[in-house]
Amino acid sequence: MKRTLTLLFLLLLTLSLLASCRTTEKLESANDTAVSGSQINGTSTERQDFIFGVYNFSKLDPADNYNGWGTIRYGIGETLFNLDEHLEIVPVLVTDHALSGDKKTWTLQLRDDVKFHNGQGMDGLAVKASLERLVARHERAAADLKIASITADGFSVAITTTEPNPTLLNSLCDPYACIIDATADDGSVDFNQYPVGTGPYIVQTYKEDVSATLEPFADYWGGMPASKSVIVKSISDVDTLALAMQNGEIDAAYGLSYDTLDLFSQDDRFKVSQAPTTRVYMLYFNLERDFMADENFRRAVCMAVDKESYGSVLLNGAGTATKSAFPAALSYGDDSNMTAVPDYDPEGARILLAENGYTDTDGDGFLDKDGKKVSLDIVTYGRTGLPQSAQALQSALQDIGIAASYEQFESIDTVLKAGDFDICAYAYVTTPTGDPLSYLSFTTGTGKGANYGKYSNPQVDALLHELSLEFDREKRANLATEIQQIVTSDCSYSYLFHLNMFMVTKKGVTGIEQSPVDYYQITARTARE
Amino acid sequence: MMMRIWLGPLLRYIARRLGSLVVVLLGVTFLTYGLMYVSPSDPVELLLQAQGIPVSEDVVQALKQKAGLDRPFLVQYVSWLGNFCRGDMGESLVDGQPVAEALQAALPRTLLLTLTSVIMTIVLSVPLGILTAVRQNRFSDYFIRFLSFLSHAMPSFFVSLLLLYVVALKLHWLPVLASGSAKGLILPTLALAIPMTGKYIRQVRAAILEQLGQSYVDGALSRGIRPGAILVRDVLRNALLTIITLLSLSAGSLLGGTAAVEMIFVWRGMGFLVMDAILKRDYPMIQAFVVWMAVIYVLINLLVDLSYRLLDPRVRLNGEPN
Amino acid sequence: MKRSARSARIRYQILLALTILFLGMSILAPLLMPNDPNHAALADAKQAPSAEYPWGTDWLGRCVFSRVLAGAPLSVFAALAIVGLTLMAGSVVGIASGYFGGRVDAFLMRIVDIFLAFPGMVLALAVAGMLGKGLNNAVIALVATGWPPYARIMRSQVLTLKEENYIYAAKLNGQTTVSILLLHILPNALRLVIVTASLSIGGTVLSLAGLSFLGLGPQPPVAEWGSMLADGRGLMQQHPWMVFYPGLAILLTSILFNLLGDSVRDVLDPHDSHHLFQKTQRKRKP
Repeated sequence: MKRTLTLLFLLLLTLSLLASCRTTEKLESANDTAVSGSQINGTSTERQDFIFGVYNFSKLDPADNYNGWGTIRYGIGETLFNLDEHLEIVPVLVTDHALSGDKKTWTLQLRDDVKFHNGQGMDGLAVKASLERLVARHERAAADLKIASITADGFSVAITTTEPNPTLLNSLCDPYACIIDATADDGSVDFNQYPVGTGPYIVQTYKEDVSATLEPFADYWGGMPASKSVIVKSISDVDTLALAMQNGEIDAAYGLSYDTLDLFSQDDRFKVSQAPTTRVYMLYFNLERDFMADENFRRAVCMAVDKESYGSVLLNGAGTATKSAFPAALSYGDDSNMTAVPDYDPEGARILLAENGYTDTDGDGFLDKDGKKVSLDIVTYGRTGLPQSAQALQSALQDIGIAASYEQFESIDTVLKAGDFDICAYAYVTTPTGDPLSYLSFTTGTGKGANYGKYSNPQVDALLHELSLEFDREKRANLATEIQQIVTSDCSYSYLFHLNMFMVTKKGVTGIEQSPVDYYQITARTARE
Repeated sequence: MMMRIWLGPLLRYIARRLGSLVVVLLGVTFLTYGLMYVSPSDPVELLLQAQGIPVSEDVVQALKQKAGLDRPFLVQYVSWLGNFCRGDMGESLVDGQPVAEALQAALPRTLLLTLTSVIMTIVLSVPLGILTAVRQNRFSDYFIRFLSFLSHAMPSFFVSLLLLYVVALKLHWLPVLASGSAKGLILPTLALAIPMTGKYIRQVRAAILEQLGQSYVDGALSRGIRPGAILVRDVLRNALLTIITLLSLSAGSLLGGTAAVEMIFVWRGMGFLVMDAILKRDYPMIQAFVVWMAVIYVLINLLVDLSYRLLDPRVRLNGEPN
Repeated sequence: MKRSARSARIRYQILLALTILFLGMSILAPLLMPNDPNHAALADAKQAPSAEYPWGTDWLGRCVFSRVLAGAPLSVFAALAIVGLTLMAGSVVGIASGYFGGRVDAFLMRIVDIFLAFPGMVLALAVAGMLGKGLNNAVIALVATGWPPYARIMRSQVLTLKEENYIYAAKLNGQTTVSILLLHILPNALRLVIVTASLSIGGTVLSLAGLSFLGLGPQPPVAEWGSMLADGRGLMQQHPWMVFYPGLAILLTSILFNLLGDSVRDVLDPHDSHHLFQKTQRKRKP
């Protein structure tokens, strides 16, 4: 008896210790303004801290892989040009630009009031040094820009390319082309943590993988930044990110799961900023396989896809159904005249299949043709939205009598290259810098690296070649439209929906919005109230 | 004098055990490298796939070459091994930062969390386990055992999210994001300790019951010693051996970090690090982690065996004079 | 002493009966499904429990109740298979190591060490990477990580057992090694191992769930409790039924097998602690 009492007493002691810890925490947190939920309704006219919770915190040296996205997103660096909400190129650090007669030299007039974080002025030499540093280290940038040489003169810079490059300005919008002070990269500081850019915020403290505290750059050419400081917090788990946002611990969240859209859009304390991006969810068809080689079969498969529901149900409304690889914001993203692409019509699919010799002769519930059972391999990888769409597709195909297997891979490259698939669900950013050439060429050009379905059409190849040389924007748009019409008219490719990415902010937050290009986030105007 | 007699063989024993560590390390790292190499994905492809921007084959090859991925397997392994022995753990294939630094940052965090979780587990499970053993088959036994089943059977992500939801969102006792401060230690410790306590209550119960069935307990009782004293002095001390073995197994896995808990509570320890590395096929990071785990495992085993020796002088370790 | 031994026996029998009943139900469960577990009705997605869908629908509009039932034979028998295989593999190595000793022992134990020191996640992912996804490969991965502890336990049991007198007697009598192993060593060593095995069934169901979490294990649309947990996790706040019901199923399975394991141990090694305090009370009475 005594023993039990002692044990119980020990337990109570432990529990009360824990409870007392909690009480003291509660008292402390009442004073800790950044933590309590009461901040959600507060108002203030003085500059305040801005806490930004992100799922994919990155390093910050633009010349390193995709780290430039972080530099641009957190307002630390800027590119010479930006893309607006229509994905048109607008000048940022540049006032004017001109192209030489032989179309190989671009002359850019720079703003004369731009300063780097370390006080140095940005001039032609600085831009030249920044770009040269970039192409020396970044394979993809070097391949995109095709720079032969750069000459600088005062506040102007002349870039000469190895061959006429219609997409040079677009490539200069890519985050890797963020202008930094290359002379500051002398080894004294890690450029991946403390890059010297021209943007409204400077990195004050960078805690590896944890957070970055940014202070405003008083000499920013665009005016004094609106927040007292910006703290970018890395939150590796989407559920935790959502909970933190709900609890008012962060002012904005990026990287939330689409499942939480309802949670925030129905809550008055928050604002959801959503924009259709150029990320398209599409289906590759392996044109070398038995059934997929038949155009009517492919058409029937396309008719079984309920695109509207995929975007609205599977992704909670974050998907806008489309027939085009490009979002509606672009002129060549207008899919209203892509009439050759079939609509959702499962009954029509069944009829089409029956008309073309696909019938269930052995009564097993699944179709066969010429004695062979129709069976398809659907493959995809882990990007949110893809497994869901592919699984929905599998179920839909079964409903019209087509047996399909589903397999998800971590890295789908090998499977695609080997052609071990019938249908592959893939997600591409089709115009990362506002231009369609790269995407179209890689996916539909004969023998190209991302043309996994082995599509080959000399007409398309000719149009792609034209596109690679054409400098006129409108003509480029028309070419892109034409190419798309051709590749979808016989259902060689199917585009499902565009991803509407979103950011959640507290109600009173301004100056931060979801952009179609997905890499503009923190700006000089970002503020809590 | 007694000390000196067994110190010599003891040191030799320790030396031999540490020697076996090298064998284990070589085996483990070779196996890891081999398995990773044979698996079809590689870090460059995974990165490009995630970004979703089509890139030319030349660029892909150039990136792979930069990462040294185009060399044959043995060359890659031997080169890694050579560097490692010189103290260079290589650089992460994901962000190019030195692996050693990342590990150095993550290690103390994992150690701290492991320490607090183990302590809390002991504090909770030993008294409760003793209670259930002594009150065998009574109501309190069943009730506590039911709770222990419940807590042990819940997946760790569930316990973590539940704690966050209830404690942070609903009760506002703690913030969701607290990993920078001491406050941030509470919830992850609970998330780890609760399932472990569930498991250990039953282990403690079994160990105590085993001791209680021994004849020395009857002997002591008949000599008039109070049950409480018997419990603490003899039973507990003998059961300690079993309990320590079990704890060592858990500590071993905890020191490898518990990825789910670490990710949810944004606690950047080893589990978080390695999970990320595995998903992105960051070979140098994975290798360094595997080495770390092997070292921990061997060291813990060594400590446990040594503590056997201390607690029960009858136990003779391999190679000691009998 | 006798009284507790008898009650332990009774408890064991009850639990055994319950377990067999549970296993039977697992096999029959798919016959009880009200809806097709794999049919995706997008229009009905994420619905709360209703008449048509007793436990609600998941994100793809599939009936959760049907899926839990469909997943029963899969999850339960996969866990049993894994435990059975690890038991066998580990025992073979452990017995060989313990009985033959010397070089064989040293070599086998090094291998055990290497596998034990190998972080489970890495091995599981590597196996899946090599062999591919699917339930069979997940089973192989878990067996590969799970056998070493059994080898250890068996070895230590064998080490003590082989010094027993009756073993010496058998050897003197000329019995072959194999028959000694099979008739004497194995049955006795198995006792402790069986308890450990039955206790680990619950944990194995969870490990399988954990692998499904990482995307390994059975591929969609196959219903498996672990992958259902993983899929429903993001929707837990607003649509908890997607996680609650599969979780409940895992919990019940786990509890049942753990109770069974405990009762097996109680039957094989009954302990009675009541006398510890009874005597005290007796002493206190005048």
